[in-house]
Amino acid sequence: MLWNRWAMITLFLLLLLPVSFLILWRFFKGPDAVNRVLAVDALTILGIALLTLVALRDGRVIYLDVALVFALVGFAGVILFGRFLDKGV
Amino acid sequence: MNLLGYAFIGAGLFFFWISALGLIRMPDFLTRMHAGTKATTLGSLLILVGAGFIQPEWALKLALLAVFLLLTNPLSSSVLARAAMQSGTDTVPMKYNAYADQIGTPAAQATTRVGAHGGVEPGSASVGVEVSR
Repeated sequence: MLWNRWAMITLFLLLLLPVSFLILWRFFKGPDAVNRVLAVDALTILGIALLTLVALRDGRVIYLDVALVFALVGFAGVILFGRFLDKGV
Repeated sequence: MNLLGYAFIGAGLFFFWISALGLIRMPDFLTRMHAGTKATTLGSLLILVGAGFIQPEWALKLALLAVFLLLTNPLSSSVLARAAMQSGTDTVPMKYNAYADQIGTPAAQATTRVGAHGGVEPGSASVGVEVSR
């Protein structure tokens, strides 16, 4: 193979990392609570993709379980904040 | 096989960049949500498919993760849109009149409302987006 797998996926990780800063900019700037919850949602999905890439880079399948639990917790958090903003506690 | 996986991961990267630029550049919460939920879902699914092409023995776990993402992301975006409409977020007024071909009818005059920022007065040519509160 012409390209080493470790170097290629490290390149993908470095290219995907500034996206998190752009989403964090929306998180800190967002003029409303729902904008911040939307930024948290996008950041959770980005974290799942980053964890999948880390699992590919290191060749360890345990990071996929971490990604699954992270998806579950992020989904529960977004649902919780959405219901809270919808009709209060 | 590896090159196909790299191509899928690169496509997912492209959609994540599109989503982040949409999150920053869109003027409104609902358009921002259009960028921030669908494009990230497609990008993460493409990255998962690329990982499955690179390492095919993880395909079952990756498919489980993809199915979970496909089940939960529309649900969370729906709850988020409902929360935005109930808690009253800022919306921008439309740039042009959507009822331009029926300008003289009373329905068109009834739908001319003041936008969220108060920039649209009734009777002008542009129609403001209704803010439900």
